[in-house]
This record gives sequence, C-alpha cells and structure tokens, in this order.
Amino acid sequence: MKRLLQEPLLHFALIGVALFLLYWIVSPEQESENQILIDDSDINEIVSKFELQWNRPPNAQELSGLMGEMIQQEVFYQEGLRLNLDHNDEIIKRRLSQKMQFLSNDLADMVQPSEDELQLHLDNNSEKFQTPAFYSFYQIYFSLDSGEDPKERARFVLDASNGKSFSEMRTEGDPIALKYYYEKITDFNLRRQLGTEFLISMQQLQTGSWVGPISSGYGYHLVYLEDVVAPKTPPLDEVREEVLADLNYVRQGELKASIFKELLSQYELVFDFQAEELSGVEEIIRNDLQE
Amino acid sequence: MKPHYLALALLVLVGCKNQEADQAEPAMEESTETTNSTTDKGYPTEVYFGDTHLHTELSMDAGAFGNRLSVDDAYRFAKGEEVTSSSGVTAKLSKPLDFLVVADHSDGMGLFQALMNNEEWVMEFEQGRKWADLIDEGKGAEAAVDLIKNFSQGTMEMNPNTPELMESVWKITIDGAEKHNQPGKFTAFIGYEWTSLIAGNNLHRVVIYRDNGEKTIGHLPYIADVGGSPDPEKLWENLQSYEDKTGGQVLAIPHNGNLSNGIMFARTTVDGDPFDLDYVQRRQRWEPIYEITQIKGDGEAHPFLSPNDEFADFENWDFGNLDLSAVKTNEMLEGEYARSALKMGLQFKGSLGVNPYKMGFIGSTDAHTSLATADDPNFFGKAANVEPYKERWEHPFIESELASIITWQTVASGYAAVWAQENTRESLFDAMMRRETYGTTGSRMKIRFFGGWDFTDADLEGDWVANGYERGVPMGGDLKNGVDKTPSFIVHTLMDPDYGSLDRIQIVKGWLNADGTTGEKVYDVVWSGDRQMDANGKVPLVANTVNVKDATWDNSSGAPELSTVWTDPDFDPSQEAFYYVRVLEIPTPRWTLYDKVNLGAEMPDNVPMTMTQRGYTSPIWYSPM
Repeated sequence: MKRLLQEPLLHFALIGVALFLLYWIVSPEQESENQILIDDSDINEIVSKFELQWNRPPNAQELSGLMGEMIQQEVFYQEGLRLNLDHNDEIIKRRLSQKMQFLSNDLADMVQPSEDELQLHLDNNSEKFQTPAFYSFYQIYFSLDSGEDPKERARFVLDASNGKSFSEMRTEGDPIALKYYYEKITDFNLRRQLGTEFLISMQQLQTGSWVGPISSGYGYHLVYLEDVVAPKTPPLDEVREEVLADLNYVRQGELKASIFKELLSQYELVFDFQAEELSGVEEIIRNDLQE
Repeated sequence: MKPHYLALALLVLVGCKNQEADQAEPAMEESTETTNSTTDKGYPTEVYFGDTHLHTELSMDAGAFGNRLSVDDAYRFAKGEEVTSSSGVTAKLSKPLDFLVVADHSDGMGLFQALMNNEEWVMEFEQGRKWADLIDEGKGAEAAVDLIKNFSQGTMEMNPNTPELMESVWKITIDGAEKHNQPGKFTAFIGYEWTSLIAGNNLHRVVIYRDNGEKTIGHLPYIADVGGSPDPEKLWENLQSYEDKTGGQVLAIPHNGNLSNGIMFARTTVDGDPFDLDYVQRRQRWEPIYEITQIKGDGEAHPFLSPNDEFADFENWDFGNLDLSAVKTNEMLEGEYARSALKMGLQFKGSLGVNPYKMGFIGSTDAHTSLATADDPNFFGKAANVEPYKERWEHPFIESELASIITWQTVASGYAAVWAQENTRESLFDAMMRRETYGTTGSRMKIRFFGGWDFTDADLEGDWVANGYERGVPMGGDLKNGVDKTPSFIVHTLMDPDYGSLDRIQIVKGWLNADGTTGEKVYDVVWSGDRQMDANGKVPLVANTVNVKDATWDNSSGAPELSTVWTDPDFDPSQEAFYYVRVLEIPTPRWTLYDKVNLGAEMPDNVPMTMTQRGYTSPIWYSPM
C-alpha cells in the first residue's frame, strides 16, 4: 500500500475523483438552470423521516407542508449559491472540509486492494494475523498457602524426577483446579488459565524434560513441555477478511494524509506574523505539516 | 438530494480502475471457527469476560470530553490491539476481552458532531452557540459538563434527537458490531444506552440485542427526551414492540442506582402508582441483570443499610444524584443498592407473587474513552480528559454548589463474567437471560456457585461442576422441590493469576420475615490461611502486603483457590430467601497507587492507595412451596 500511495498517478486519479465529487456536492442541479427536480426518492426520504419520528406516515396535508418546506429550502439554497453567500462562511467551510475527509474514507473503502497489496500487508504485519502458538505440557503445582517454602519443595521434587513416569509425577505437588496435562492449548488461553508471568516463562522453555520452579500468580510450578507449535503466518486465503479490514483501517488514515499533502502542495502557504512572540511558529507549523 | 448520484459516480470511476482486482478476488467466506466451544458437555465449562457498557466518540458527552476514538478503535482495543488514545497515549489491554457492547447514549446521538460543525439547527439556540464556542476555544469538557447538567434537568433548548442524526449514528454502531463480531472468537453485541434522567436522578439502562444488523437497523434507539420518555415502562414497551415486529430478542441492564437518589429500586412506578402484577412481571422480564459495579461507584451494599457488614463500605458514591443537583439522604439509600433491592424484591414476591427485582449481576466500565479498561495497572479513566497524566487524580469529576466528586474517587471497575456454552451473541445473551453471570471489579477470577438439597463435602472430590449442574442449579437459578431439606451450596473460586490471591468467600443471605420485614446476613464460608473465626462469626482481616513504593504485593497471604460446601445453618423453610456469593481478594494496589508510582503523582493521605478486588455472583433464590 505504501508503494501504491507513493504512486503519483494514483494520487492524481484520487484527487481528480475527489474534486469531481466536490463539484457534484456544491454545484447547482444539473437538470437545467432554474429547475428544481423532485422525484420519488425525495418523497420517500421525507416520508421515512417522518415515520421515524412519529411512527406513522404523514397525511396529505403534512406531506404537502413538508414538501413546501423542502422546496423553499432548495430555492433559498440555490439563490444563496448564486449570490456567492457560501464564500468565507465558517460553517460551510467546516462542513465541506469534513465532507472531503469523508470522501477520502469512502475512497479507501471502495478502492479494493489487489491480491498483491493484501499479501504485502499480511507479510509486513504477520504478527497480527499469525495463528496462535500451541503448547502441550504437564504441570504440577506448589502452593504458597501450604506453610512450607513451595520453591524448596518444588526443587526437591524436581531433583527426584529422573526416571519417574508421568503418572508417578502426577501425584506430586498440591491440588488446584488446573489441569495436569494441557494438550495444544493456545497462548491466548494459556494466559487466561495461568497468567501473563507463566506464559512468558513458557515461551523460553525447551521441550523434553521437567524444569522449574516456574512462578505464576498461583505459586510455583514444575513443567514438562512436550511440544510447541510455533505461530505461523497463514496463507492469505485463510485470513483475507481480517487482512482486508485491517488494511482499510490503515489506509483510511494514510489516504487522508496523502490527499491533504497533495492538495496542499498546490497552494503557497504565506505566513504574515507581526508579533514577536510568534517568530518560530511558522517553522513549527511547516514541520508539523510535513509529517 | 445528491447522495444517490455520489455513490454511483464513485462506483463508475473506481470500477474502471479496479476491474483486475475484482476478478482476482474470490468470494469471501465467513469465518466459522469456534474455539473454546464447550457445547459437548451440555453445560457451560468456560466463563467469558467482557464489557457491556462502553462509550465512543459518538456519545455527546464522550465527544465533548475529547474522545476522538471510533467504534472501530473500541473493538480493536477490546480485541487486544494497540491503539492511540484520544490524548495521544499508546493503549493496550493487558488481556483481550471476549465480548464488548458499544453502548452509546440514545439521547443526543451525533449531537456533539453537530456542535463541532456549527450546524444551523443547533446554532439557532443560545445554548448551542455557547457550547459550540466553548468547543472552538478548546473547552470541550466545560461544554460537556454544562450540556449534561442541562440534559439532566430537562432544560435543553434544542431537541437533541433529530432522526437524521440518530439514523446515521445507529448505522455506524451496527456496522461496527457486524464487522467485528466473530462467532466463537469474539462477540460484538449491537446495543445502546437509554439515557433516562428525572431531575438529575439516574435511571439509565444499557439495551442489548441478541440479533444481527438486519433486524436492528430499522429500530432506532429509544430516547428518554422529547419524542420518547424517561419512564422505564415506556422503554419496555419499545423493547416489546421490537420483539413483536422482528421476532428478535432484547434485554435492558440498569446501572448506577447509587446516582438515582432512591428511584432506581423504588416501591412505586415513576408516576407514583403502586406496583401491580403487570409491572413486576415486565420488570423481571426485561431486566434480568443489573450492573452492580462500574467506574462511577460500587453498588452492592451500603454501610448505612448493612451496619453489620464490615465490607459494605467499599467505593460507594453517596453524595447526591448524577449532576449533584440534589444531595443524598439516608432514606434514599434503600432504593439504590443491589442488596436492598433484592430484599425489597422478596417483599413484592410476598405480596404480588412475582419478584420485580429478581436480578443477576454483572460489572462493566461505563468508560467514555472507547477503551474498556477496568485494570488498575492500566486504567484510562472515565473520560478522555482524565486519561493518564500526573495530575488527573485531582481533576473535579462532577461539581455543583452542593457537592463535588474528584477523579481519584472514580473506580477502575468492572467486567461482566458470563458462563456460556460458546462465545456467540446467542449463547452469551441466553446466559444473561438466565442470569448465569457475575460481576467483578476488574479481576478475572473464576467463580462457580451451585445450590441444591443434598450437596456434601464429598461432591468436591469428584467432578463437582457436573455434580453441581446435575443435582442443583447454577447462579441465577431457583431452588425447587426441597421438602423437609436444608439447602446446601457448592462454591468455588480460582484467582486471576494476574491479580491478587483470595482472602475469603462469603455468602450473603437475605430473607423475608412473616411480618413482612426483611433480614440479611453475611457468612464467611471459606478463607485463606489459618485465621480463626471469632465469637461473632467474623474472620479477621487479611494482612495488607502492598508495598506503596513500587506497587507490588505478596500473594502468599491469600489462597490461589478456595472452595467449600456450605449448608445454611439458619434455614427456615417458610421464608422467601436469596443467596449470593461475594469473593474478596487480598488488598492490591488501587489505580491511584499506579499513578503515583508510574507517573509520579503526589496525593494526600485521604486518597486510598490499595483496594480489595471483588466478585459478586447472581443470587440463587428459594421460595416456600
């Protein structure tokens, strides 16, 4: 996407679209001069708004009144535009500038990214879309609550673990509502079950032997890590929807900034500060705009 | 009149450029991955944690306080992604949530945007001009406070609920939920907050739909102001009409009885009429759960109402109503707290045959930052103007001539815990309807609670969860068919390994006497260490091990896991009764201490530095045959 955003041709096209749309918004009706066209969709809109507010359709008199109001607004609006009353009006400025920004959002959503762009976004942000890591392990637990030093007890059990079977080890340690054997538990669920500290320790363990004591919020554990399935970046087809949503989110921000920059480059910014305190402000503003 | 053409023009232009891409793209398949699904056992084996009450920039007050984060940002954050907060601080949840309800205010949906844009219909009014000017001057928070005050008092000059605005905002809410809902992985509910205030007295409800966007898009949020009503009965009518019209399902969750000045759990309707059967049935039907704890105070119990409960004095807000336009008096408290409401409910059960206050519990944040943080080490505050900075603790939160509430008094609380078969809208919603839920002040402790007629200690040896479901009822249920027997309860809690260990589990009982009065008692049923219960049946306080220099503590003073089978020693089969569980952790650092350690904030001695995290389960009720 970055590459695409730096493509001047695309900029040109997007800005062309934006200006074209702006023209559609502010220009008078296209039908002809001095014509105000009212069609089905206008009536439908009026009726549905009325229904939302009153939970019933308007009667003939009410509808006629609302139409009259709409026509009056349209006539005054057209005349106002003709008289250039929209120029230098703070409210209209703000509203139009906001509409321009909405346009860039719409554009970001509507320009469907290509296969390559999606793939690139996936590659550059693979940690966001990875499959979880899966852990298979045994654990026995040593409670802080038992009176004796749980770390000492754990070390003692660990020292005597050589040659012991899993079913023998199972009877060591203190009871708690945790499993003895976790099969292919995701890192997300491991964190829910055993906490952040335990997960961080697990991420550094080698497989194939009893180790510990490992600390958690509950107390201490001895762990036999049997297997870890490392996180994988899935093929695009499996996460297409997530990648697309994320790319659109990122792109809305980038596109907005990029359109603004492009448009800004077509203007000359002149600062005319007299007050001494304001010296230096110009540079700050220019730098900020460059970012 | 032009938007139709707009979309067309865009399509034509963009379409030409992207033919290639369109062809290359296969149809998207909906992800149906169902991790954590536990349907095979026939009962829930997993508890899901979430926030049912989060505001984004779309809420007028949130926007005015400076929230610039969208619905999209809110979901991304809840799912565990890093976002930049409105005040420019990087924010990430310590552990992702399982579900979220973006509940923006029904009233004034989009009003803040209208003020920002100086839209004509708001600028016609003096208030509108004043607020717009304040926002222009960068005093959005001041505008927000004034706006909320006027809204609470019903002195808004404008109608903040124009259908055009509401429609577009409702669509944003729904689109966001639809986009982020991933059945089996993360649930995004469609919902809103009905913002009823009667002279500043809070009657707010969060409304949650079980359904998708197709059903809900045509049904705009019900408003409390002109065009709607601040009367909950009218809200229920609206919910009923939604269900009749669409065949969908919806529920409402009241919150902050503590800011209602006694009217949240009243003995009469809003109009002052006595409750009748129709009223109590509808209240029970539409409001199965209550938000018992949140940032604006904890609402379980109050020391005035429960003088024998040494833990009732906990993060209570008993200064006045929502805008502090009227101060609190002791007579109001009964109508404000969950425990007294449960007791009152028994009285109505006695007289009308149905309990209007038969409610389960959840916790939620009510954060206005788009950031669902109930974590004390990672608290982003009530609104964007009190996101983390050194002096935020002393920032006035609500002020009037009568009283003031300062930011340090806000609570980093809470979350909703739901025992459900799987992480989907349907499954979580159904669990809320049957009240198989509990609230915590932010910790993700796992609490189980079963009531039955023949549980013994031996049940804890075997598969006690299966036993609990097989021979009893879970939290939220009713004890039935217990002729000549005394109820017994299996209670079990596993600590949150990232929070404090457990001090004790308590069972709170309330009952109805023959003369129509009620009673309550708090039983310590199991606790950590070798502390001895004293002659009054109280277990001594657990040691406070928090080191205020570095915000650390020692888990060895509490237990990682507590469980027991408890039989009611004072059971009277002729009395209506309820039982719920309160779990207390050992003291751990309060968010104010993390501000002190991490941001260098300096606070006076009256600001608490530690707190005990809690969990409150939904009750189990007993009725005489």
